[in-house]
Amino acid sequence: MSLAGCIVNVIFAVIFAPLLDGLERKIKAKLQTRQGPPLVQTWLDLIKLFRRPSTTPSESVGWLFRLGPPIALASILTAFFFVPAILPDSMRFWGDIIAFLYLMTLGTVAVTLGGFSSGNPYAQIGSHREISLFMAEEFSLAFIIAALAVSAKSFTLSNLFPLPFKASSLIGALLFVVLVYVAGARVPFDVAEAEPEIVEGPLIEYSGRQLALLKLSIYTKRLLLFTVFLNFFLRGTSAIRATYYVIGLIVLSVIYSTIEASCGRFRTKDAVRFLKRFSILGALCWLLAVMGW
Amino acid sequence: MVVEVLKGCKILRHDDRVTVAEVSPERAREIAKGLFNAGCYYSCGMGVDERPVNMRFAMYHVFNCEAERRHVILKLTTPTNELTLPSITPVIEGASWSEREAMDMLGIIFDGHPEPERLILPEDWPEGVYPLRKDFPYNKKLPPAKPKEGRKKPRPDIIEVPLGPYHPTLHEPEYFELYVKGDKIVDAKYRGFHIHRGMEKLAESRMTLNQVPFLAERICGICGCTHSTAYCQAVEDAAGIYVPERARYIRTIMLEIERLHSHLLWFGVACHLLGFDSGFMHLWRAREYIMDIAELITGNRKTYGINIIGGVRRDIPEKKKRKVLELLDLAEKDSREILDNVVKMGELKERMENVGVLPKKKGREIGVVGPVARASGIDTDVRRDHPYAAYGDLDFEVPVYKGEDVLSRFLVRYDETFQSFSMIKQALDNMPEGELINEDYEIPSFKLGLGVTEAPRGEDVHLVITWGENKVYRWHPRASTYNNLPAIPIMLRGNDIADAPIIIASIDPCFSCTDHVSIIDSENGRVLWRGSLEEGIRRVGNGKA
Amino acid sequence: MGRLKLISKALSIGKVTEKYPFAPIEVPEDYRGKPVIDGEKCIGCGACANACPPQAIQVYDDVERGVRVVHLFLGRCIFCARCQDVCPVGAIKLTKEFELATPDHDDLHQVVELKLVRCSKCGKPFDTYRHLIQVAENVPPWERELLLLCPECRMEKTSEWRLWGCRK
Repeated sequence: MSLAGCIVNVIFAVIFAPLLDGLERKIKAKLQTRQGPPLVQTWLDLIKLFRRPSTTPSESVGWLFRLGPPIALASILTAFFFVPAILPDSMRFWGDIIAFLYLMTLGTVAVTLGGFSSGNPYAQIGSHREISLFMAEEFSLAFIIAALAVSAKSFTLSNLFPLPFKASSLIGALLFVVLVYVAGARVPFDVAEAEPEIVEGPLIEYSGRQLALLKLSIYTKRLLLFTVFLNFFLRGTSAIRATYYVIGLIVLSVIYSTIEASCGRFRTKDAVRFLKRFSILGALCWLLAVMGW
Repeated sequence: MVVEVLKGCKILRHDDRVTVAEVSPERAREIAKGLFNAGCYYSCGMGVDERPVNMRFAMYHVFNCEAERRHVILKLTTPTNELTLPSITPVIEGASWSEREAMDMLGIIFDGHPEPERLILPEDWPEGVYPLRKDFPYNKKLPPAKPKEGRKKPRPDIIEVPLGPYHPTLHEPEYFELYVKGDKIVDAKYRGFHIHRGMEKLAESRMTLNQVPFLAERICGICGCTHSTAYCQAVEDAAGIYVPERARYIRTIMLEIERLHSHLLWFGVACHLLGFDSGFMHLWRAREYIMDIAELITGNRKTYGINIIGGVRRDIPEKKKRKVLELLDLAEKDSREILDNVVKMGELKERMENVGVLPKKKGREIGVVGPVARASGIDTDVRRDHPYAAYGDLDFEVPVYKGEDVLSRFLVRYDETFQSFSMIKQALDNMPEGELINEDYEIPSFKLGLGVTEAPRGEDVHLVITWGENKVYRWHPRASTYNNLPAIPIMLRGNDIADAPIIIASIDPCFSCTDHVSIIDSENGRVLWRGSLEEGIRRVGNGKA
Repeated sequence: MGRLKLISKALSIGKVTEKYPFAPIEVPEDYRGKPVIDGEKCIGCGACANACPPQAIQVYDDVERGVRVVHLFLGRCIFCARCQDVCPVGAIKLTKEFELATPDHDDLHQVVELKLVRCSKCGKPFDTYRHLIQVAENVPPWERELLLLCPECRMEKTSEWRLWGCRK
């Protein structure tokens, strides 16, 4: 439970997340009969971006626009303090689950605010989509967490797990698997960034260092969701913890990127409709939990 | 009957393919309307500076009468030393762009045109300078004039979304301005003609007759061969040149190979736009076989350079033929497998069905061609209606769908792809032995020739007026996108902004082809279709939004 | 499930893209790549310059140095192989080479210089030796002496012949 351990976790996340993205790119290339970029390509891209200057569009609300990327990344990295990653250390306190949820929200809000403030119509459409998707998605996440919290009668992340053997917790775990996919902004749910439609949406006006920060925040967010799943829902034994965790990340990456490579993109309204139905399932799950099943 | 409509006009030429009639300006509208009612659609128009010959300007209106398997060309000439002609746009909407083009490039004034504004020349082009007139030197440089000021009034409830000039969807610089309310497009504006290359002027002033096929091939990077074929056919038509049988078959094979590569490319792009990148990669893998075939036969992947006036330049010997058939089988098997799997994917189908609807009636008025027309229930195909090259000898079907949406356009192309495979095989099997090229011809002076081909995107029309001394007097290529583009604003209205890319892509637009004759439009886009912004908003407000 | 089939297909095919800049790419026999003029064969007739659609080949006489220059600029070339078609001696050929990017502008130019013959009467250079030899094969022996005259002098000579009705 040392702070040093938490910091190691954060550093691990920053270093490992782009590598995981590199792996996903390699897998997608494999599924598309391509050579594909090297594993470290995402890192090379980021380093290149970090070396480039950033520009601020003249129509933008400058301070808001510039504040978006650092807040987005910082909030995701802060969330890593509540979730054990490569080391089993994390900060635990009553209500950390709520803090965790708020940090996830803050990250998304920072990106969309940055998009809205850029003054670019594509960014506005993208942010608009991001928000509508996020609302639906957050709704279901809240239900799932509530269901689990009701079962465990706790608001501390680590106290929720291991899950009690109940119908509600099983459904909750399954729903969370889907949610990890959706929240990772993967095809078909990447409507907010859809490159052929709205040219990366909220990211369109960002460049250089700021773009690198935003990209890094997306990669770390995916890693964070994987981490939550591997550390809580499907926890390995403590002896082989680190190995289990890394292998688990790789396996999840392979599965998720395979799904991603075999889907087309939804329309925003289709994606939102899907998530609405999904949150009804979440609500059912919560009801089950309340009833004690 | 078309001939009845033309009663009382001076018939300049009448054979089994083409009728050319000189129409007096007073009767122009009546005859144009008569032709449209007889089932002909407006194909293209060419303005010509004929002053060196007879002190007049002329406008040629080409109508495609599929039912009678002929093209009717109406020739309107201005009175000596005057510039005015009646516009036929009030009776035929499709003539609008052609007439405006002639206004820009030649300074012919069309009386009664509803939008007598610049279409092609940029805002900073000086008034009263007409680049396609014969007294305008091709290498003359003009200082830019001061463009007229134009300010748009922003509306608070509507977001203007610029689509282009640089956008990942449009692989060429072109500009659509979408007016968006929430996620719905209430109206769209098209500003085009950014990619002028001055090809017509270039061909007329510094190239010889047999050099132009290579320029024509470079009108388009995807369907170049069909342009060079159309040009050669136009010259062959004007000079009455016999093309050897074997050459006709080789032209057919190359044209179908081009169609295959173009359609497979389009399927790939469509998948990419719908977010399914794996399909895109797979389809382009299948397309690579077709590129290999082209490289094998012609020595290059895309610019085949196979056509020349009077025939073709390269043979397909037995050894290559066997290799081609082998590759074709692989490509057919692969593309069928991939496409069958793609159409089964729910989310892709969902995004194409009932999207980008173009009603049949509207399509006919605009004169849309190719897969866009066939997906709106218009049964038209140059290969069947006006057989050229060896198409008369081949057995094929023309797919027609009545869905009027993007999915129908997808399915039309799907059917066409496999028809093309079969046509190439037929042509390879039945190819007669013999000469490749007929070089024994003389070029008459000042004679009009018409060459029409079915490009992957629809009908391509090339009009050529020959000149002695191995030159062209006037060459006017009209690409298929020129006719399809005015339909895009109609397709876009009322759809989601997410669907805009696939709708624009669904006509398989080829902006460079369309713009070859143009010179840029800078500021002040203009509405190129009927109906105001307010009307668009009202329509969407009442209907789907 | 269509999409699963595509995945299994991709796995069975493997990689189809090439490691191109790091590994060579094969092109077929009749590929139309970089044109190369064989200076040993070229006779300087100018047929290629006439046929070339983008006017990438220019043929002109440098009278001062007494040479005919055949100048091919690859920057304009469209690789149509018309020059190869029309060359009477097969001096220009399209090769299989297609990697033409270069930091040095001079790499895009090919220049062949052919010595010009001076007119035996007025001394003006007018045609290349090689072209004359080529032409001589198709000219009856009694007219061959005319070959060494420039067009103007030749015209003069033939009119003299006509005038006097004999060759002397």
